[in-house]
Amino acid sequence: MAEARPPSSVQRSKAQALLALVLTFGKFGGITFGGGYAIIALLEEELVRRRGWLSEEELLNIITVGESTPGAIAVNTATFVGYRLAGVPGGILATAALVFPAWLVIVLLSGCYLVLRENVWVASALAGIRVAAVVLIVRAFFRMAKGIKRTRLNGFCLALAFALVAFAGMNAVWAVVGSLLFGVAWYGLRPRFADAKRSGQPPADS
Amino acid sequence: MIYLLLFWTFVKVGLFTIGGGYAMIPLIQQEVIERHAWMTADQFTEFVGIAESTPGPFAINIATFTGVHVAQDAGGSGLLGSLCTTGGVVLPSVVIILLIAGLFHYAMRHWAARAALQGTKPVVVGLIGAAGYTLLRHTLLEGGFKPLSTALAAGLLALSFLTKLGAVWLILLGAALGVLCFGVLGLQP
Repeated sequence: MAEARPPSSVQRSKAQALLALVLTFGKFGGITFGGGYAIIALLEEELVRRRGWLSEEELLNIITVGESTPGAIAVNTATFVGYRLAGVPGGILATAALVFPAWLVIVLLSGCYLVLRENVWVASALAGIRVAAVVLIVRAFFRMAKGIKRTRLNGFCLALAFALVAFAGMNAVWAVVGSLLFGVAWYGLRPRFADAKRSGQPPADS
Repeated sequence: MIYLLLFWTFVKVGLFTIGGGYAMIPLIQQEVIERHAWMTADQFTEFVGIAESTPGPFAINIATFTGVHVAQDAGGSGLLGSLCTTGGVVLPSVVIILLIAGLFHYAMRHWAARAALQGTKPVVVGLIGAAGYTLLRHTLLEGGFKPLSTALAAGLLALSFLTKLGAVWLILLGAALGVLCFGVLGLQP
């Protein structure tokens, strides 16, 4: 605690930061559709431009962390921003606020869903929704595939993961674990060993 | 104990999803449809569509729905079930982020972390492809080839590539086409 400031004002400013976090992330949770990247544009607008809580660079760092740590990107980002602004309670509260509207809507909706599913009109709408949802997944596959560096090795890894899971029924968790280990070995250890050796021809990397 | 099983299943889903959003689909699909048979593939696919058209992160929507649905089916409380799944899917994120937030610059620049992520990228995309393939096959071929659904899928796919139509609009369009073709016109799928 800083002695320069009276404790009440310190507490109030911390409480204010927590309240602002809850309101901001609660709003994000309530108005973004599809999560993930939709939330990033909102974060930029609200936290960087309007409130000035973060700089552009900090936000970029946070997004990088959100993308590269396990879990939903929006959730990771909320935890990180909350932590940056108000410590561990901030991280937990921002996450809870983000999750709450989505949770509430689905809890309310899923009660009706199982009943409505039997209705013939709802059933025909759902048949159309199923087709559109599969199309969305396929589109996500193509979009994400475009974002990958075009090397023969990446193509091989993609095809291998696809075949093992789609045709051989391998557990997706093992594919993820395997790819993490392979990444460390191939992109991390291999160049380091090659550097240490200096001798021997460079490996044929495409 | 259904609650514990739900919680643990979604902790695993949260922990092994890298890249967020759609990267979660193959994991949930395997756990929920294939391993535990908690939902049919039809219900899962419908719910992917519903999750895309309701507010909030996709992962939370789908975890909440599974929790309510499975706990109710097992004769338990849907509310408690949804808290287990939603809490489970969020927990790894919160713990990991709070742990690394302090040493972010070190952790993210460490060569091993970068190398590991470089390895996961193509595999995560391959997994999404596998989920898409499995659900596509199910939606269009299960119980016989469905020519109208196939035509709709091809049309919507072409449309989504040509127009960059948002996910919500695509789902709503799918619903409208479903009502028109299967409901009003009474066509076979």
